[in-house]
Amino acid sequence: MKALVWKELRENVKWAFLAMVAFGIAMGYALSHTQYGYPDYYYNDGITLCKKSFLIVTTFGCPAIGLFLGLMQILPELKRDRWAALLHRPVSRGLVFAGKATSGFVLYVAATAIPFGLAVWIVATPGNFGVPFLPEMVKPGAADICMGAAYYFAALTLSLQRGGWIGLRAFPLLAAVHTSYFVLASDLFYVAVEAAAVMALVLMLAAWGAIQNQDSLGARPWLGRLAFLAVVFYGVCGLGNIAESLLNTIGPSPRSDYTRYELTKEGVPLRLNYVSNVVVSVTDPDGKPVSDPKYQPDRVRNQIDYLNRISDFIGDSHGWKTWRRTRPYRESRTYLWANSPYQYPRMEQWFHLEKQRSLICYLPNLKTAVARLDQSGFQPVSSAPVPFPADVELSTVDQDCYSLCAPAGVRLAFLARREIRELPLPAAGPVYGIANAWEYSGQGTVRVLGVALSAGVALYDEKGVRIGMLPYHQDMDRWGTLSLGVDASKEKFFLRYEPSAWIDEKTEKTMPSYVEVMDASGRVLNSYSLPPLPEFPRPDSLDTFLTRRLQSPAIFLGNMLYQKIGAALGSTRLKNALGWQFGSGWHETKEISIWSGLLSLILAAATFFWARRAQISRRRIWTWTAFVLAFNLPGFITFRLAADWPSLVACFGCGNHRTVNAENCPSCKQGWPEPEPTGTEIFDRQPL
Amino acid sequence: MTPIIEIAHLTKFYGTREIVRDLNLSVPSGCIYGFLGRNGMGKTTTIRVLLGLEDPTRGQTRIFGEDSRRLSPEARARIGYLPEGHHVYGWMTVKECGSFQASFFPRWNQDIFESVITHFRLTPKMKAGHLSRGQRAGLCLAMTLAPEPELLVLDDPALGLDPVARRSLLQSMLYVTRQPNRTILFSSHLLSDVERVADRIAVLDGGVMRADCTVEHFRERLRHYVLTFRDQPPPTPDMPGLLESFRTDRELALTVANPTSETEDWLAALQPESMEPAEMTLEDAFISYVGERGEKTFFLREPQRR
Repeated sequence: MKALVWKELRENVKWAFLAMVAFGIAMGYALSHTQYGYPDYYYNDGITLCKKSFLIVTTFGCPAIGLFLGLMQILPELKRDRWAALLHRPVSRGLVFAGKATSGFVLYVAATAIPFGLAVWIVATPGNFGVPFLPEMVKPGAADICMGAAYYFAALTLSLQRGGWIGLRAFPLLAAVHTSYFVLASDLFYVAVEAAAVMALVLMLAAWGAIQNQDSLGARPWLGRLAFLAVVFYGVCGLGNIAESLLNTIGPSPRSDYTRYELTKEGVPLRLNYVSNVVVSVTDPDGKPVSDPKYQPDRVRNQIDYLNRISDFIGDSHGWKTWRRTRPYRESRTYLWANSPYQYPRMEQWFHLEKQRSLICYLPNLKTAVARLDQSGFQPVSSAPVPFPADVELSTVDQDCYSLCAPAGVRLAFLARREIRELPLPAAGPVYGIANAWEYSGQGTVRVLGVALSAGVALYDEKGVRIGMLPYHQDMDRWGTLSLGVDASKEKFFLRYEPSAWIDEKTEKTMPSYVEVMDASGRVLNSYSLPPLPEFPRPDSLDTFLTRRLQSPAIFLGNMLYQKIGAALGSTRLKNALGWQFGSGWHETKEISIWSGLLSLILAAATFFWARRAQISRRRIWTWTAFVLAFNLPGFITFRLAADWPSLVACFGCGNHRTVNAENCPSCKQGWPEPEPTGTEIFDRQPL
Repeated sequence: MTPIIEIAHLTKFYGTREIVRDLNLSVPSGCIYGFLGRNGMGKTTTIRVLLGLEDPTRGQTRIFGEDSRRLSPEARARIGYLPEGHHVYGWMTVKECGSFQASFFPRWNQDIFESVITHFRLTPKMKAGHLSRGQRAGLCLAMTLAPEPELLVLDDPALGLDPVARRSLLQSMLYVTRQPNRTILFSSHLLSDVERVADRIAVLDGGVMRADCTVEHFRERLRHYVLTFRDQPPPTPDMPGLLESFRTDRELALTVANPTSETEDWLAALQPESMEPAEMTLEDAFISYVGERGEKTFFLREPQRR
């Protein structure tokens, strides 16, 4: 083993070094590169280790390195005599594989982790970048390194497996591609790493099985056999991912019809009917056409005053909790985001640190941190941070102003002045939410800050001075989802009431919503009742249509079982997911069950007859039939690709097809004829 | 004597192409077996199946009593295998090649390794990638012989070597392998490579074993006749054992396997002016045996067909 590892390391270290240098240079370029050569004040491209260009390098670089090292390790040695010389050594094939895989994996990790570690070190060293470094920011790159390991083992599997390069051998690579889709689409870091690690393990086992026997799947150890089946199955899924992406890109988009209420700048509600995001007609809430030319479909969007959401409910939450979207681990915004700069050129830049629940200020020119905003107020950066409590909502009011909203009260933090001001509330809390409302006027932008309280929405100007109060005129227990707007004169305020967040979807669809136009004193100038909007079923896109019908019954039912067990163990997420399956998603659940079940049944029958015709053994016919029944079309393709198809030749006795492996013809029961004597045989003893 | 190698009804297909058909062979301990046949006749495939590098389609092969498909590392340590092509890791030195190979074999004999590499004028510091083909073959042979295997399987070891290198390789093989109870299976497409070392030969033709005998017996069982005619020779008779015939303007040369008294009667019936059994070297006999069967002509035009 030691000798094998030494040999593999010596043989491939040059390739690993080459890959390491190329990867390092690419990462260095990506870190220093600025799009279009301009400073990205908003960090739209992401921040340092989560920058898009950096992630492109790791997303494609790690798989490329894994694939390259894997292929370079096996292919040159795979020539018939070289491979025979290697395998004939008096060690088990498992040990030969272990020697290769261990050294190759070490080289892969060295080729990717060393330059990545160097990049992390450069980013983390103060003075190199004018942005904060958070250890969590290494997650996307780390996930990509794990993903690349799957490609390394995919390269080993596809090299060791016999078959066509665009046939069976392509599927380990496609399985790794499927993992990439998963790693890139997953929101949670640990899920992405788990998926990559599991696929790397499966591919490693498949490669281990392939080195035991390159030809026949049936002759491999059962673990290698299962792993290879899984690889082909996931390869088919990877092919499906690619096809889905292509269909999404070049296929026709399904027509989507929907209707929405919007408010004009005067506060009049209109019903806008959209087809594929284009306004096709405008009516009043009762459905009568609007005659005013400025509200014609092609120009109505310029006349709309967009309202901002203040609260999800007022009063009792009825057990409902604010649902926070899990942000993808690959986005830098998950960890930190830059507050809008309030001066150009930037003298200082504030960053909101999500997990640390505080803000930190950097001087871009000096690339150093100078101040912090946390529960203790504005602090020097050297002080120990005191995070804001979990119930404090931090949001941007203005470029220079941050609101710190807690149930007990609201504070405004003015960043440039390093000043924190308490908002005087007209009544005691709790505070249910806070939002900005703004409108453009000839003199600039009109801004109003609204704070949702039990009795009404308190209004403040940009400096935090209270300018009015909008009392509620609806049943706030049921219509507690509030949105706020203001007109350009700052004399009219719009309040829209929608069903509270805790109300279930089905009931919500039957409830009207309301709009009230008030002045600052809370006098109602106009009031509108908006009937519930009709629903338009959204047609499936081609890829969704196919994906639903081709779902594997085993995975579909297995997923439901997983949700059921998870819900029984107390997981709210899984309970909600299961609830959706049997609630509002029942139509979809039913459709998937019927179609995937029916297709699986047809394909399983096809498998049975095909396998029987090919004279596959009875036990395997039933195994494959069950497999296809469980896994639908991907299972059927796996059967076609991975099954040991016996070679058939014409029988000498009856002329029917018979397998070359079987001793006797299944039709005429005859054995194989002995070689025809030619009279030139020279034997000095009887052959065995 | 206990057979070291047993091949029973071995058949190997690649897809629907039959490479080896119903092959039976038994190699007793201490025997040097020449495994002969033209290129592509199934020698290497048989050896690969024998060593467990490929699965048989039907039949069974055993070495040291173990099924080839499940050869234990201990059994492999007793088998020295020299595949064709003489592969070495080019980046290693001769010494490193030896050390690398030695790490796998508990019975590594450094003296043998050094003797063979000295015989091939190799020095330990030479890079394997810079060696000539003959030197590479010598290095491979040294790595194969140094573990002192009980069974040597040599797959066309002299393939691609010039006559001097071939002679050198065979000499060192002869020197080292002439030990009691060492069994050798030695494949080649040239009989001259094996005739001086082999106790027995097996000849594969089209995947079928056509001969399995001693070298002397093989030579005895082949006969060459030259028949001279006054005019154009008659068509070649369809006689049993005929390997090839060669027609010229007045002569008909025939090579026959397993001749009997009936064979000469057949030939006499052609009424030649003279009939002389000609001497054949072993090489000629082998080439006739494994060459194209049937009639060949040279310089002759047949007016009636024009």
